[in-house]
Amino acid sequence: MLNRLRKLLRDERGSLSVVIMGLFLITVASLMVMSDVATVLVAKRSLAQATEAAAQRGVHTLDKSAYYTGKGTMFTAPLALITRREHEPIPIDCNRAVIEVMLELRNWSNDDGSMKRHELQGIVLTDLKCDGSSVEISTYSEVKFPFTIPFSKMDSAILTATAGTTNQVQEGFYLFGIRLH
Amino acid sequence: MKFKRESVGLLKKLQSGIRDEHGSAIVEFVALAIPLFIPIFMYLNNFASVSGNEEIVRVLAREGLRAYVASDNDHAGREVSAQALSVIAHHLGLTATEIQTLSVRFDCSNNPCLSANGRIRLTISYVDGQSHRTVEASAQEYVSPWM
Repeated sequence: MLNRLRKLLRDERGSLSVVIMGLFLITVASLMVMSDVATVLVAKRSLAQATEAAAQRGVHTLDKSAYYTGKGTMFTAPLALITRREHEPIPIDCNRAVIEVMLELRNWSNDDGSMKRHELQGIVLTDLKCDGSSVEISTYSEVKFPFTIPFSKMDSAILTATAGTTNQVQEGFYLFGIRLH
Repeated sequence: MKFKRESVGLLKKLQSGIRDEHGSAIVEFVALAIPLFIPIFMYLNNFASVSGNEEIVRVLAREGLRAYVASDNDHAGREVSAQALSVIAHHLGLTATEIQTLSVRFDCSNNPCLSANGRIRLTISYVDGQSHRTVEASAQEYVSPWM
């Protein structure tokens, strides 16, 4: 019996099958990891897009009390044009900006269409910096892998994104809020 | 008699040829590796194509919408957005046939679409030339209140 076993172990017939099966398993495991990495990359872009959109919405909240200060006369606008005075930065209402940012993130999180990748879970606001003229937000979201990482229990990852934005005055001639030139 | 002897010799040669293990590794490799690895390569090719298209369509949605939102008026916005999409699609490696299948839809909360504080959602799709699969992505943005 022992001799038979020894003979069988020495026999090289079918040895290539073992090598091929081993290689196949390694290839499949690598493929699973590669699929997960690709999913993470696409999801990261989706999260960055949502973060940018939320920051854009947040920065559009005008702080009216800060904006309408000082005295404007019929001479101030032409004088500013002649002297090419720098525009004051548009003041942002930071309290409202937080609400708008959260609303936009909720909008993206609850989207069932093609706005957000389906692997991305809800988008969470982690940080909001508002200095009155610009807004910077940070978000995170969990991305579910299509395959659990082989030889581990890892089936998701946390992605983060940060976006900052500010307002810029658009030069033009406006009458009653309508741009004429 | 001579014919019988020859045929027996041929049969013996064939039998020894079958028993001979020279080149058996190649047969084993071909029989095992091809059925196992070809589906993997097919999956890899398809997955790479799907991921690449997904990336491209998301960039297009984002940039097309930015070009539109940053424009002065609705008409100019659509023109600029269409031009931006065409240029970006070309730079991202889409073929002329794929660019022709580009379809853009704007969903707006206000009328005209490019109104102050309005919400615009752009949905863009195109047909992938290789797989003939329609790839779609959307982006949403709010127009500046001071446009």
